[in-house]
Amino acid sequence: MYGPGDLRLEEVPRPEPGPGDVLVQVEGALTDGTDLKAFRRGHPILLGELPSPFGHEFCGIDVATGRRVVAANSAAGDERGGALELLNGAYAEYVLVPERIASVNLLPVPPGLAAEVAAMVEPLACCLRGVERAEVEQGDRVAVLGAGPIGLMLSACVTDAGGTAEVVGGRPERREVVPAFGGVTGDGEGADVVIEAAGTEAAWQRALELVRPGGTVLYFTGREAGAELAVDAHRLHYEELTLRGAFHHAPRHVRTALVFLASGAYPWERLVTHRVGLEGVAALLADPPRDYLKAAVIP
Amino acid sequence: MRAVVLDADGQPRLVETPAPAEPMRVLAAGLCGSDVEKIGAAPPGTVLGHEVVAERSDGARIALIHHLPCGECARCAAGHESTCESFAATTIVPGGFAEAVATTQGVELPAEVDDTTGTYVEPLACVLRGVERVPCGRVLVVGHGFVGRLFSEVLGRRGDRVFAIDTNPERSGQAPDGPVDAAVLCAPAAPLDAVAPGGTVLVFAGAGLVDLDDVYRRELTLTGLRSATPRHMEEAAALLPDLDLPRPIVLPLAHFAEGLELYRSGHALKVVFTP
Repeated sequence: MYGPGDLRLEEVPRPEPGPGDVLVQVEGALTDGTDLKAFRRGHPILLGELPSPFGHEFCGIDVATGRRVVAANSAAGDERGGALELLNGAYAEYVLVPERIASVNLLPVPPGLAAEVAAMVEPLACCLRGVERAEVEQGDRVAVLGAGPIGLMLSACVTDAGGTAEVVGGRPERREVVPAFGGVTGDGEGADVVIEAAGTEAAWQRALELVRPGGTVLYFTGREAGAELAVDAHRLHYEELTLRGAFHHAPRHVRTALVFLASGAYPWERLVTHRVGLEGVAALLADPPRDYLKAAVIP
Repeated sequence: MRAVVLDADGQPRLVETPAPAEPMRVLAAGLCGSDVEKIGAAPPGTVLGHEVVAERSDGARIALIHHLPCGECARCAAGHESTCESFAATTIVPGGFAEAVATTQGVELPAEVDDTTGTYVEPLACVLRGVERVPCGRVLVVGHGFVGRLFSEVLGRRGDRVFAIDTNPERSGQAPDGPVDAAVLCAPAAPLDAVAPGGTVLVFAGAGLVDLDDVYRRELTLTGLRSATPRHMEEAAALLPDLDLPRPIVLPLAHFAEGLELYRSGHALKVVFTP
């Protein structure tokens, strides 16, 4: 990644693993919303110094052991505030998982789980953390703003947490898939919990309007530095609203996510709507097809 | 067709070469340590690769049998088929690291085994034949690369208490906690002192020098094993779906040098090429 819109396929040396590092031959990587965002407008937190390797959801073979593995893109613990070192470079034939990540967040894939489904472990871990932070309880009506892959994964997580996921917005092609992930489509008006997963300023604002008195709003998507949110301070106080953010995941979410994927409880494979080679990533991100959710990138 | 052919210096090159008569499409071919030994040693023009899965004209996927015993001579009758005079000739023409091969025989792959894992039938067949010569009990596998892992898996299923050591600590399994009844040498390091008196040592790789005085004084049984028979190929194909084995690094034939380097450097446990 050389900069917004400038993604190039290049021949680079295969990474050399040091002690504890794990070299993985990528079987399949997945595109996601963060990569789309990074492709369109850059992403200093994700990509750091440019040019940068790109792509962070993947499944592959641990070259040294022959195990099929997945890894999360960080070694985040529960402590927030420190800068996370994020792993990039899954859109490649090989990716090196550094020791600090491999030692906590590299997991063997359960037998029979398809590589492109296992590769969803990272975003699903984020969703599990989000639903945990939102403190969804049995019987809660939970509005999920956005019907992209994250909205659909959140719908599944909310359903398993005992809530009713009401997916708000999204184009018709995506809303059709909602029931398969345990949710219903609706307007979200007066929800006990509202999870913002659309990634727009309007959705951030809309989440506040939808939540019932005493309810919780969880902000799942990232906004640019300096972005502001107008909050009705009167409502915040008198309606005892709770506003929370959720970013990323901890090792426990990664582990749970892998088991959740392997459970087959939801048709995770339906989230992969397209397949491209390494050379096809740039064109796909530049102009995602209408029915696109996630693409498998097969080196 | 394209094939990886040893050049005048014995080095592998991907080149155009005539396809054999009655060719079958190669789907995958595994890189074996014995292939690597032959690089720089086998005559120019050799095409290596004997762990081969190919597609028969009827569409069936078969793991190729690369040596055939006559089945009638005294050696065959004694169970030493791999020393039969007919055995030495390879039946895979020109060799597995090619887009197509001609062959005489193979065993069908079970549907649940993918093409690349199907290349494990041949090494697994060798291991199944080897395990027949190892007494049950506490068994030490010396050299825990790919073949060592096959031995561990098969011995473990048989109910043996399996230990495994390797010069690479990352590959080692559990080190023996006392004397063992048998050792399987998959690497040229032979700590026979780990084997209890009366025990067995199966030599499955060029093992270097073995102290025969040890064999005498502690009444060890030393036995060697080199290859598989068609019966073991059948058994291996049937067993393969039930085993939990490491997955190969899969590379196209055009990346042969890269696969070779991954193997030689010890980075990769197993490399399989697809045309």
